Amino acid sequence: MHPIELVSITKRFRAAEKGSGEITILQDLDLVIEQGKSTAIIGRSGSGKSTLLHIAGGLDSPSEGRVICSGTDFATLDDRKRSELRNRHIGFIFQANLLLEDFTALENIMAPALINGVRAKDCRDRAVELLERLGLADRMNHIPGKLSGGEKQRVAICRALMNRPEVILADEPTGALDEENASDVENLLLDLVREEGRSLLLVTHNQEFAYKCDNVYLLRNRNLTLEKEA
Amino acid sequence: MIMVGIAVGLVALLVISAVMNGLQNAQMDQLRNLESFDLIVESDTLTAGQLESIEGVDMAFRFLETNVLIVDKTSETSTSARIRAYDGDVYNSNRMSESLFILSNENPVGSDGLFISYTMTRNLGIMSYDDIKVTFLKPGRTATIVPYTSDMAITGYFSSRMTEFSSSTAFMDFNLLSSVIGDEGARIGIYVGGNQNKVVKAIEALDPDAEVITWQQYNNALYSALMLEKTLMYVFLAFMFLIICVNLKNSTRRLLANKQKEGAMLRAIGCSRRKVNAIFLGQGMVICLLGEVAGVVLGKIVIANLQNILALVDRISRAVTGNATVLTQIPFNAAIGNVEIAIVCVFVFILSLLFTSIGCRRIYKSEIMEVILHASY
Repeated sequence: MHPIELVSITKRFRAAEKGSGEITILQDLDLVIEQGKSTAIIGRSGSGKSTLLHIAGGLDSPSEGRVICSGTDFATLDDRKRSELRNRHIGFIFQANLLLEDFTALENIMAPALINGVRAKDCRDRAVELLERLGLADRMNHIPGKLSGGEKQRVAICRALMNRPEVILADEPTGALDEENASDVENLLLDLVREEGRSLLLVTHNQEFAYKCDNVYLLRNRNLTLEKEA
Repeated sequence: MIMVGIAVGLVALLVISAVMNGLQNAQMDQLRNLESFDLIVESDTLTAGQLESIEGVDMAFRFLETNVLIVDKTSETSTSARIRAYDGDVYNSNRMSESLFILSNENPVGSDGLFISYTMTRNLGIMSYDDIKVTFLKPGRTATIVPYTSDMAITGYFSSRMTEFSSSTAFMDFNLLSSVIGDEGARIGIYVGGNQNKVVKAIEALDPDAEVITWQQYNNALYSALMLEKTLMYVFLAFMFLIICVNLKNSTRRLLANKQKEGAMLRAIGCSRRKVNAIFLGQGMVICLLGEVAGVVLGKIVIANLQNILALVDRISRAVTGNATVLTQIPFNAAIGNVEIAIVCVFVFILSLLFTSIGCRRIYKSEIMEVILHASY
């Protein structure tokens, strides 16, 4: 059983202009995210990389095809069960780190576990452990507004790992960072994923970052081409 | 801002209700003290003393009432009037003296005198202590009623805040009037200090044939009008708060539009649409409750100090325009009951929650992916 399996995925959007019909972004696409492996998807802007990632995480639905997460087809679940599955099995990291602005770094990291119904003390212990591993122990009580871009992204990585998900889905996680911070975050993310034995699906423009992953796919002409295989 | 909006809206609702209540209560108090008392009892067997011994009755007294023609002997001007006759001590009772202001004589009802208002003296053109002729209609030996004219002196003057009452009513000693028209028509007026319904039941138990008229029945037309006025006031206040709520809805929508990113993030980390909606509604509830607490506290402070505030506005108006306002000329005690406050709060809470949930619909319907992509660029 794979953490995530995409089967014959097609995604169409209604065109912005009236009467222009639909635009197909992804066409009959298959992808398997293997347990403990990192997979990167590269491609030009607008090629549908983020859409594919969101479909893989159940944030968006495909027009055709199936998304199977830990053996369960997302299409068979209602919103509540789909949210539960996402909470337990998938961790998200976005380019815009999307942290809760009114909460501290610690509280942001604890949020997925609290939603999962884990005891507050256990949540705190796990969040502190992650913060210490990422060198943010002294920043745990800071709100996102008081953190640098790199620190915010590291908090987002901690949050993604909080529930020990099978797979991390990362959408341009270093896209908004400078070169030095980007390199730090790349290494941290890959190290943590390996140390914790998680799978990673990474969407990025950054070829160097992508080729640090086990498998690399190029998304072009609505389909995937394998560029590198471990 | 939303909290401030709710608090200010609630203060406005509470203060306006309290002022309207105060003005209506003042009017009703005048009616109950002078015109109709709390209860009027017609009974062949019961005496004022018996009724006064009922629990909840502050005072019971007999009174007579008749219509007369009053003529000023000097100017020959005349006016019709109603004469009410009580025993002397009733005039100085607490409730009566709250509304009946004796201006010229501490013991106004002499053995042969009439106690009238300044309004009536102006109508008749009477000078102080002029002689007058009063024509009564009294039971005759052969006819049912016959006119009887008597020379009388004015023994005192009064005023009241009820212009109609003052211009149409004169007072007289009970024994004097009963010597002219007899005491068959005497009734008993009652001031109630306790539960009015219990007192009515006690009277009916004492004399099942007694006719008991409550002040609401006696002043039915005016009482109904006051109740209608009160109901309409609440309807208008509800409309006023609806306007506040429309602003509330728009503010909530703007606030939640800013929070869409937060909602999308919560959904990405595992909150269902329903849960996200519940979180934002919960926040709306807390804001609403805090606004209500602030509104009630502020409203109570304003109501408690309303006379001082009106006096201050009056002073400022005098200083700026040189003219006094009417704000301090009508005495009333602004008052609002806890039940009324609770009803207003529940109404405000329901409306606020309704409009907050309408504002939340955008978040409920928004696609996470679109919000996240929008946040990324």
